[in-house]
Amino acid sequence: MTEKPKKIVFDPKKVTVEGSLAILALGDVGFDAWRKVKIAHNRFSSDEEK
Amino acid sequence: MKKNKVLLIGWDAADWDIIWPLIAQGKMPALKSLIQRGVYGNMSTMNPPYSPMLWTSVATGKTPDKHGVLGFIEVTPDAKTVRPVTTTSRKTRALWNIFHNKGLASNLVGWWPSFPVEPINGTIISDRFQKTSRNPKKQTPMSEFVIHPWEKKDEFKDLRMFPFEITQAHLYPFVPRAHDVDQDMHRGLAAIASVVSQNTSVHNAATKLLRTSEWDFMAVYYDMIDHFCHSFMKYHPPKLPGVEKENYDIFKEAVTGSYIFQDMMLERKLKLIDKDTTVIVMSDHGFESGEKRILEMPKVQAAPSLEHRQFGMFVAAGPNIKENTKVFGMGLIDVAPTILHHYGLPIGKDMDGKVILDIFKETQEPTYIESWDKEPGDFGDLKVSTQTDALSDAETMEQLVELGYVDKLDEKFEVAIKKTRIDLKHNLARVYLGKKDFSSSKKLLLELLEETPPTDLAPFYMNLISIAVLEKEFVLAKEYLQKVKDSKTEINYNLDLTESYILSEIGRPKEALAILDKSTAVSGQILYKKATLNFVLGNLDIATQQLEKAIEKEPEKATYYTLMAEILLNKQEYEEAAEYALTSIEIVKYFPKAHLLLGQALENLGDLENARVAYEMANSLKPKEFHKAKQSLDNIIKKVELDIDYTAEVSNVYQENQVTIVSGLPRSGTSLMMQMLDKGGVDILQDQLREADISNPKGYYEYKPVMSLYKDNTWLSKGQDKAVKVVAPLLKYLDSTLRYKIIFMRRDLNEIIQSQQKMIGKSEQEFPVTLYNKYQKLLANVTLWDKSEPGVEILYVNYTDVLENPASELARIEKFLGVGVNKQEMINCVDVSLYRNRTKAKK
Repeated sequence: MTEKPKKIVFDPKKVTVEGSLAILALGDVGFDAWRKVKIAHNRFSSDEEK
Repeated sequence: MKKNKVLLIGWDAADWDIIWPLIAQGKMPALKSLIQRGVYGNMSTMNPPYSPMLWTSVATGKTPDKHGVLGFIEVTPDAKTVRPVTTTSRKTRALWNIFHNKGLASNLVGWWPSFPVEPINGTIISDRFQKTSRNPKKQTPMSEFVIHPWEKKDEFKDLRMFPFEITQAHLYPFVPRAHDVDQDMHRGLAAIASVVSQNTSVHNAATKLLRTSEWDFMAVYYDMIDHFCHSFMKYHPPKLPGVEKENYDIFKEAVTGSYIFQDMMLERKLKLIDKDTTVIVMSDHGFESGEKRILEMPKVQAAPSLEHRQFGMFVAAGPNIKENTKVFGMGLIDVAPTILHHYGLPIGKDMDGKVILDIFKETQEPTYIESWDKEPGDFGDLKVSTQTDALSDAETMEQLVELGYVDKLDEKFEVAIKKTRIDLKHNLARVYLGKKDFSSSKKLLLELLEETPPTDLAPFYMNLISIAVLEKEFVLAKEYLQKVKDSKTEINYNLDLTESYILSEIGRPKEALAILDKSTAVSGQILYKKATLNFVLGNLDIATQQLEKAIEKEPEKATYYTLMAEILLNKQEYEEAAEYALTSIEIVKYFPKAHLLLGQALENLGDLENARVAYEMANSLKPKEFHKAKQSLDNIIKKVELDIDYTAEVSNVYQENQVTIVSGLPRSGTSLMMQMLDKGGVDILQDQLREADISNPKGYYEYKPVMSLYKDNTWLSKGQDKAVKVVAPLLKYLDSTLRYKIIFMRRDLNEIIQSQQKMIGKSEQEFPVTLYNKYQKLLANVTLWDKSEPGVEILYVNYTDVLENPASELARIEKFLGVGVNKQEMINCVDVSLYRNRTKAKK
């Protein structure tokens, strides 16, 4: 499946671990970015604990 | 890039009553933009309003008796258990099957039901995709029947959101005080987490497909609004009495929050499509948000559906769709034919819906084939072997139980199976009832009456009452009503309303009204029924007051405005009558009676041109009162073309096949008038069974069947181009499909009563006051009746004027009848010596 180029609608760097409805409303792209932030955060928290 | 695409978005339970205020506040900008560049209107639902049935009707253009999806759950093919409804229940082809056959690609996301998936050209993310466990420790694996083609599973599996992923940031927009919720006492937040995560999963799959796939048709279904409404509508402003204040304060923004989030998701999808795509956003039914909200759910099958409202919403925008235009008369079954027509494909003649041509800028004549189901070839039909285990789904079942749509399954599966069979059969009976196929409905309902306890038979009896009333089997209706009264049903039916309805149908309006007056319930429906009865009884002011209250309670009911227009017409308040008729049409455009009343009001206001338009509309709809619309239209055409004096109450034009009626109260000179017409050359319909006597020495000119006009008026066509005598109280029983010229004899009421007293040998000294009042009311009712019957014209003739000035009265009569009469012969009939009961003042 080839992804069609679409204009950027949000900045993934601004996605917080808490997330938001605005991010969810963006659909797969927003959801995927939020999940990545969450995973990174969890990894970071886990490392911190260690 | 593909052209001519359609994106169909389903918002279960979305309702204009919530949407319009949000649009006005700027909180639903995406939908607003669609409305501004497209069409919008009400979407009429069907009964029973169960979503899987309704969305299957949307996809097939057929009613549930034809498509086979009859409820939320189904019995498995091996008859060993029950499960949430699946594609296997559908027995006809859906839009995506037809497109598959025509080489068009469809994407389907979350459609209810779309599991197990069909092997179509395109992608299906079925309605089981988003159903996941709330338990973070529990895996919710996808089966191969969830996604088509299964090879795409890796692209979508990580797009599922789980309820335990919901954060405070997701909850606050719906519940700003989420931190105050005692989750042991209220499960609201858990419900939101479940619904939001599931709808996000659907949305993720939809946006993924919009971004990455080539398609011709795409349908996405969201149940978020429906689930939010079922959980939180009771907390939606204004606060209802009986709702706990703390919960109200906490959850009052939940419903609007779901609409706003749905709009945000719409905005995203609109950004992912091109200008050539036609977008449809629609709901399957509305949701009660006013006084009729239910706080305590009754124990009936699929009880939450009682909160559903008759009208959902519909918006469409696209290159060939009209702009900012309201459209009317749409039903769920019209969607599939309309979409097929958009693609230039023929409509199956076995589809129940029609093409909504009104939405298109440029229209072409729809084409038809016998049935898409009979067409040979590859339609991507379901081939999966439906193994019970593979299709059973604990999460979906659990959710249906929690929502109250399905009872918790009995541990004994045979009990659950029996209950499901009964429910589905009852649903089918209700579908037939909605289609006015009474014999099919009755057959099923009578079979259901054979069911043994603990089955509650009352719902079946209630449907049988409806059928009996519609078939005018009132004795049977009363028998069924008694069965419900005697039953131990836990359902709180408003039997007063039912009983009152039966009584009014059998012509006992006073008793019908007395029952409602005693009733403690004060719903809009009861107020409307009371107003109807008071209208029938001539209590116009009371009827008006009751209707005002009914409208206040249920401002969306077109029938309430129509009745108000009818009453105001009778009160000769024509401007107000026109306004109410117009409001009714605003709500339901294809409401023939409202157009007829609008025409009558406008005609009385002298606006003949617009009255004619209204009559034409009523006439084109061919309603039950079709003849009235036709008669009104004929009248107005004659008025305009023949330049008839508008101030005259009558046309003075001969109407083809007119029946001349001589009427009035007994002893008002009707026999004299009949005799005059006879001598004047008018054919008389009479049987001469009643002989002349001292009271009427020149004969009565009566026709025996008139006496039983109230039960048989089929003989009236014999009176065409003849004259027949009908006493005033019987006029309302005339067959209103015919044309009448009524010469109504008026005489001083005191004289009439005096003459009657004398005729029956009673003392003239004792004046019967009650009788006098009754006659007065009767005469007033004749005037009211005349105004509502376009086929009737009444010329009022004074008895004394006939005696004292016969020449000028006969000239009026000749003009009125529109046929020549021998006036001299008529004058010769006048014998002043017979005028014996004149009042003292006149002697």
